[in-house]
Amino acid sequence: MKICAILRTVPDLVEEIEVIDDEIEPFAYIANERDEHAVEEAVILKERYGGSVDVIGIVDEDSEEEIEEPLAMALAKGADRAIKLTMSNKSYRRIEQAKALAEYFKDKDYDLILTGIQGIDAFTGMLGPMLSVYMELPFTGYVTSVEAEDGTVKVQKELGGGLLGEFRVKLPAILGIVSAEKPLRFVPLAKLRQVMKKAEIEEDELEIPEFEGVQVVKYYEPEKPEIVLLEGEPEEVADKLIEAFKEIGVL
Amino acid sequence: MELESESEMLETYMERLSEIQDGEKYKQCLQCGTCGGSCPYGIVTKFTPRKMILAVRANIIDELLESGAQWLCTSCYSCSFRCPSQIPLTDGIIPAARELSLLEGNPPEELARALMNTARYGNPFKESPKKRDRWVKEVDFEIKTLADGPADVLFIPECFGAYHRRCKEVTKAMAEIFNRLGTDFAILGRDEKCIGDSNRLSGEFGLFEELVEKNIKAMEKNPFSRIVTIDAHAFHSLRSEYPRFGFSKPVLHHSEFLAENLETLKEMFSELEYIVTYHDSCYVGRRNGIYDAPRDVIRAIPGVEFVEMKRIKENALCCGGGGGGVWLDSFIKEFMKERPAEERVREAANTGADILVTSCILDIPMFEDALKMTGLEGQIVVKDICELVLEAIR
Amino acid sequence: MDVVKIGVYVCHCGRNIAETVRINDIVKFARKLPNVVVARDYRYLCADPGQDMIKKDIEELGINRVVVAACSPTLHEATFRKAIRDAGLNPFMLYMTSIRELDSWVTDDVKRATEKARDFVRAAVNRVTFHEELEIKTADINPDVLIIGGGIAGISSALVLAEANIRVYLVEKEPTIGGHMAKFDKTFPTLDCAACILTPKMSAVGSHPNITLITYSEVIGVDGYVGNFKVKVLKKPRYVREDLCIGCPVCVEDCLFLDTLYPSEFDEEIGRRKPIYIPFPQAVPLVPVIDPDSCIYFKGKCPGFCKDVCEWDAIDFNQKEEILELEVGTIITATGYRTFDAKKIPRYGYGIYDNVYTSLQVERMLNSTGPTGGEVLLADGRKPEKIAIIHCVGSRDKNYNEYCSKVCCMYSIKLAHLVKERTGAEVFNFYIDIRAAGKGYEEFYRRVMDDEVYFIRGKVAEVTDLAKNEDEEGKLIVVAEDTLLGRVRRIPVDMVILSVGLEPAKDAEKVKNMLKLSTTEGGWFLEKHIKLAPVSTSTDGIFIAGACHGPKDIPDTVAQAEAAAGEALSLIKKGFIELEPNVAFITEEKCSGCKQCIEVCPFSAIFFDEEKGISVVNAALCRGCGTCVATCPSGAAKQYLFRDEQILAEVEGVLEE
Repeated sequence: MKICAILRTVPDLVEEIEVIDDEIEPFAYIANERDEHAVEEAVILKERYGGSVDVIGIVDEDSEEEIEEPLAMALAKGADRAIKLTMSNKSYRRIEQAKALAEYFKDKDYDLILTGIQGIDAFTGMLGPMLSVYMELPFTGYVTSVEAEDGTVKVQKELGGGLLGEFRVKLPAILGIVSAEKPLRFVPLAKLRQVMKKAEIEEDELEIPEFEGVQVVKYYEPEKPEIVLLEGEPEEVADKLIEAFKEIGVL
Repeated sequence: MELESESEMLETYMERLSEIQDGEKYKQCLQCGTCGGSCPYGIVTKFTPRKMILAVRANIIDELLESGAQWLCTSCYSCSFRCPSQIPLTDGIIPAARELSLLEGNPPEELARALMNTARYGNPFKESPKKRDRWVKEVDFEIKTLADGPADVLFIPECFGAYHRRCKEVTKAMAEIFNRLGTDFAILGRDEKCIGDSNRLSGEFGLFEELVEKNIKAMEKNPFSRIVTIDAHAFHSLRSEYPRFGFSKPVLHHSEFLAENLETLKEMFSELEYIVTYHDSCYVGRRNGIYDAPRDVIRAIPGVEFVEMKRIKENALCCGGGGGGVWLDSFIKEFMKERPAEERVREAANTGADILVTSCILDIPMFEDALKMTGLEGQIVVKDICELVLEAIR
Repeated sequence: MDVVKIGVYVCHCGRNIAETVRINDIVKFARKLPNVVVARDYRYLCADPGQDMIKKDIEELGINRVVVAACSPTLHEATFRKAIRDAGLNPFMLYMTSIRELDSWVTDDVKRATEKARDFVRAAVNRVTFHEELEIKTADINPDVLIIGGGIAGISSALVLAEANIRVYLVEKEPTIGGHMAKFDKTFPTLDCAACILTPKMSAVGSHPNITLITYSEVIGVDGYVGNFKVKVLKKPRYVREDLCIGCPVCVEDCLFLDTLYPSEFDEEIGRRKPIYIPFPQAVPLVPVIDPDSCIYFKGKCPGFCKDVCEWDAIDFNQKEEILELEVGTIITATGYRTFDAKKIPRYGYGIYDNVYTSLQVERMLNSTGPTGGEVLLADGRKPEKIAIIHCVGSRDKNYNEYCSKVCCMYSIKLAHLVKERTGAEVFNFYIDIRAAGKGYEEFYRRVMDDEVYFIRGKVAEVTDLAKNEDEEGKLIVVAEDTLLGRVRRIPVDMVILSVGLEPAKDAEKVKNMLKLSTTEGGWFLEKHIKLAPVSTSTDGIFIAGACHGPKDIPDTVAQAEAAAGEALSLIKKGFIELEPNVAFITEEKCSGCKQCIEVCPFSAIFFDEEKGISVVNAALCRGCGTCVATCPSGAAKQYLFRDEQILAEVEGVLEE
């Protein structure tokens, strides 16, 4: 099976993101966790059925994001090729990306294209479905496991209300991965450093037309709610609480 | 990219052992079983250290790795301490096997996360490195960082001391003692990374080395004369492992520092009416032979009645937190109902003590959890030795 | 000096030398060296035909110097010296150069090995040119023998010598002879009662006209050399006169202390004694001893009831330490061993839990004259129902003693049998390996297995009283990995017996320094050769017997003790010793009297002649180490066979291109 996994970077939320004067301060990037699951599932499928795994790492030419380490990590885990795809005007609207990517994938003959179900930056979950539209390939999302069955794959996906469903998807296809079948495999640092040293990361570029449909007005952190501790005997506290409810008009 | 074959595994394993001091002494194993009987998990594991050596000799390391036995180690050093052939089991046989699991890519999840977090953020909690010195804001005196200027003492709170809600209290207590004693001390602040001992013992040698390099670099920013740390694991690593990488400053465990300043402290002590028992942590006691310093400090506090548990000094039972054990709780729970920490707090409570004094930062969360599990909460309180000292000089 | 005629003989040593050194090359080379009359080679020079070849050349060619290029002189110097002496040449006209140990054995490089052998032969030829005739001096052997230590080893040596009409001084530091064996109940593998076989020998020692028994005494100084030792013995006051006491126990019975209050040394402190006591009923000499630390007469609190009651007036509170001086020709050290201090391993609970005993304590319990009258009892007087015996306590453990104590396996098996017999308890032996190599030992092991004694292969990790379930309550729990089962087991028992290993006696170090012996790493006395001279030492005339040489059971001890007696007898019968002539001497006219040589001499062989104001070497004591020669600032100290011209000629021979 010829598989491709798409790997994007997103802001690292652990390193608290600060907003000053409506602008986001420079922050660190990290691999989008759902995409790491897509890579993991791709490697699992390769191990099970043979074939190859290409990992496409997407970066914006103007941003600080670094995709080399996540790509090396994918190689360390078992991917065969790592391709850094630099996009101009990488939009937070996936539609432009999707169009360009569809074009890019045209002659690549992948049996399966896996992407994380969503990125935590744009939060739309639309890359997969839009690729599906532009590439005219079947898509299904929220996938948690994949099994190959002559020319098709049987996927398990999470449905609402705690239900699970099994679907058969004709290949080639696009899948949105919510989590790989197994926990992400561990890569010791020494091994990662070794791979980074000798890894060959291929590079490619994608031109994306400027898009002005949506523009950033400002970034801001929500105001923190005011917290008042009511102290005293239970009766007293109850009285104060009633008073407070009256004040805000719920009583 | 897993290890292809048994022989490749064996080769990797042997290579690692050859790099560890005395690692090749395993050849002298008498198969006496002292290690197995001494291990807190000996009763449940499929491969005691003795059998691990057999597995290596028979080249069936894969069976060993599948059993998970390599993760049933709290690095308490009981086996190594008692081994009649002085084989470095805790520092060699076990972490070298763990490394194979890491290379296979499948260590227990909780531990894997802690290791990945440490690699990325310099702490296992997935906390921002920027918050490492946030505890400083919670004390009412100035604390300088080494980057700002030289100091006599470099104080290392390590990850638990810097981030863990309860352990931060110990850090602050120690800082206050420094302040009261007029010690010229500084911290590395945000430059401090995880000292890394648990990474080493978890088999993540590459990460350990990277952390060592970063920390040594941070320590070179300004001169200082010695290190004091409240973290027994950091203490051991800084004292015994860092010198291999060119670090050469004296390193004191905070109980040693307190003992050294005991005469001054004595003048500041006021009476405390407690019955106190003391838990010898593996790294302060067994691994580094410090038994008297903490006892001398406790005994010097007026009003304190000091009582001993049954298993003391080199024979003290481990809290279960070391060598990554604190990240293996759910893994180990599948093998063993009662945690070592629970057995230990029962033993402490049986002495009739009000306070269980510890000298290793991991003891605090381990024992406080154990008190909850055993229903002994309220009967006995866990305090670090510097918290007890601070209480006596307040 | 006569015309120097040198014969050079090169040995093949089978293939040992010939494989690496081109022998022909060496022989041809030697022939061209100055003063060399003949050079030959032979497959084994040490064999008779080889020696005969040299003798023949001496007789026929008149050669007067011999160089043998072969093995190390430590192996065959004596052989070749004898050969040339037989041919009428002074034996010191020989020089042996080692082309085996120092050459062919250390390289495979034929070219370089051959070059090195040439250099050695040239050096030897240069050196031997300057050799001189030396005379072998002799010294008489004093036939009296000192034996240090009155355990089974010392007793056995003493009796062999005394029966051969030799005067023996047997010095024992305890109040009685008998040593450890006297404390045992029965002995493996035959289960003979220890007392039944030992006490007749003890009384024989006590009554033998040729044996002077000096108990409660310690050797504190030894001077002199083989054949002529001067010995100082410190006799401690026992406050009872051995010459008057008849061994009736009236004084002990009438002691002010009616109860036994003090821990008995002989009973390993599980039994008690009075301030005046006889260690055990068959003690030799059967004379009480007073312990001044516990006797309150010395504190003025007792009028001396014991003294009053003694009809023979044997009690003497005024006894003082006494120094005896002896002259002997040979010394046998039989200082024995002590047992490992089990308190060094707190996890086994000795000194912490009441019912953890050492093996020696259990021996005393089992002994009918012991503190429990032969019963094996717990501290509270109950009979144990389950007993654990832990092997290898302090042995085979790099943290304590790395060596195997050799006797513990067998005595543990014996104890297992005896405690089972006395109590009917279940007995568990925890072992690493069972070492039952000895006559009848394996059979004994199997016999005890038939007793249903359990053997668990695993070194015990710890003994604890922290119970984990009801069965363990009130018991001692022995935690060990059953390595054959592959499982950690917790076995609750009532009593734990620690099979403590053996260590050199407490004062072995002192004895070692006094007698200038060497020791192995554990502190055991080192024999001269591990296989071929097992009871001799590096000091001539001093022999070792029994466990002071290393852990040993009774049969081996007795064998070694009798061997040591035999070695001593051999010397005594010969009557004299030959002194190596390669000793140092002081050139009178050059000596400035600075005494530096006296300070550096490790054998105290140099003394100062006050009258002449110069140093003098006692040739009998000198071991030819050369330290004084190197130290002497005026070049007065010289050494036969190592004269400057000899050494310099040799050095030049090696360095010559």
